[in-house]
Amino acid sequence: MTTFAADAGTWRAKARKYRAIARANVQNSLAYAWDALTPGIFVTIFIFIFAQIWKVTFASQNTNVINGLTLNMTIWYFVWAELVQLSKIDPVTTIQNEVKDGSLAYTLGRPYNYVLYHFFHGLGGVGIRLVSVLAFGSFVAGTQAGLLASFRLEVMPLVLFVTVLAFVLDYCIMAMIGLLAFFFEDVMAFRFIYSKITFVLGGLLIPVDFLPDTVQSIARVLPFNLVVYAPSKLFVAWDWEQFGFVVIMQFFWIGVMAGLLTLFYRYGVKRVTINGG
Amino acid sequence: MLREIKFVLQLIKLNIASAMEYRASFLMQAVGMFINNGIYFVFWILFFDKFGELRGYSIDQIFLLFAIITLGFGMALTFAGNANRIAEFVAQGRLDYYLTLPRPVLPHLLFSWMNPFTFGDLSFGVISYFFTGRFDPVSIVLTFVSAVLAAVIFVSVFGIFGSLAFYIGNAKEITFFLGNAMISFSLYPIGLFQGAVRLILYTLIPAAFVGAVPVEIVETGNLKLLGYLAIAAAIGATLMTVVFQTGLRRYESGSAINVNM
Repeated sequence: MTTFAADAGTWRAKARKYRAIARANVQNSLAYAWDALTPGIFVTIFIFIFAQIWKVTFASQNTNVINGLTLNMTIWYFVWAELVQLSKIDPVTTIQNEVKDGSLAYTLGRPYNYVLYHFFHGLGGVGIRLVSVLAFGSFVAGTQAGLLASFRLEVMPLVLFVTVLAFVLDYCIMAMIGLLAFFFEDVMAFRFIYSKITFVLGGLLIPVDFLPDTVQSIARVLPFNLVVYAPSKLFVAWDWEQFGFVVIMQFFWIGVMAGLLTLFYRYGVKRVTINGG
Repeated sequence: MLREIKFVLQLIKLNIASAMEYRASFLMQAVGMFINNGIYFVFWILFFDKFGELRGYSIDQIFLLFAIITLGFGMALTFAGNANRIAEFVAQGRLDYYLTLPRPVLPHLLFSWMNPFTFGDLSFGVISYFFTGRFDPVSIVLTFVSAVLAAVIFVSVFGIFGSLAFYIGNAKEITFFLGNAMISFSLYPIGLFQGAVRLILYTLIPAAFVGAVPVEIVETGNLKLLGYLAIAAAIGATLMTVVFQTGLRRYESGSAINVNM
């Protein structure tokens, strides 16, 4: 006999379903908690290198502030930027493999949305990476530049909100790259290119404020800065007006990318051929 | 010895033929890596455009640094593509295949796969060198020889890190971390790092030997320094062989059945 929950098919039931998917991966990531050390160690190296570069740069420019950022803010900016970069959901390899080996077919018959499944599954592993990156990154930044002078505890929930939206936007783009496997044999090159665009135009290697004016104006129009730069800048230099603008732009780009992702997925699924097995 | 060299050359030939079977994929991966490197390049161009010099390094030194590192890394993993996968092979018991064949295990393992991404590194290294504007034969030869030695050091260091798997079990993560640390540190001007960190970059994670030292060799034409780099490469290769061979005695088969095609 099959039993159904009384609210089957409602939004509440759907939320419960995806919450269960996320919870399963939270438990999984906790079981392999040591794996979270890897991004922690990476952030240690990155923050250390960036701290050396910007210490030397600020000293050679003989100034305390460059384009509105102090040395202290610049080093802490990179902590949040790396937090986004190293904690975000990365579904490309999984989606590519599932498309290539046909195991995608297995999920098509299941009562969940394939794209949402991977989002919530990935989300389950984010928490532990966030903690690891923040702990290691803050330690290195603290030893190199002291505590963040402009830190405002009361706005942190809003910074986290913008960061979550950044994860969603990034996921839409990354999932689309994964689904390119319907058309290309290997999509890792696309992931490389996207991630490297984020490095410069997204503000991971250098805050967008430090880019030359022309490049800066291009970077501010594109969605990539909303993934890394926007939350990181708000973390070190909170601004209500900027916050409002960032949230509107993030919702706009999430709408565009999610729409494209849906179309992409529907088109791709039509090309799936199942041979049994 | 000659027989083994012929064997390795044959493996390289087969690897190239295998990569060419999937031309579109191969090209995509190579182009992806090329763009990947290009973005770092763009970062430095923008950086120096705005801030000028960085502890004695200008954009010219960065061009040379990138040329040598990408050529060295590219050669290392184009020819010895399994160098940074040894830990994976050991942990999964996949060395059985090599142990059953009448060839020395280490060179056979190292040279039996080619990483298609690294063609992007190789081509990027050549383009990067063009930006340095050093077209005199001495500079070209010094750059090439330094890059070859850097490649030997890359393979040796990856090999040593990967062989840790014989001693500590699953060393995949630590190999990945140490390898990336070496690449990351090597891509920045050495002058940024002082004291203990600098010492580490000349010893435990020898990033200086694949970046800063070769740059100095090409810039100053210092043949003595080139000799030291060659000695460092020889020591690295010897150390890798010793660590691998000693570790191999501790290897336990996973009884896994693998088909190498």
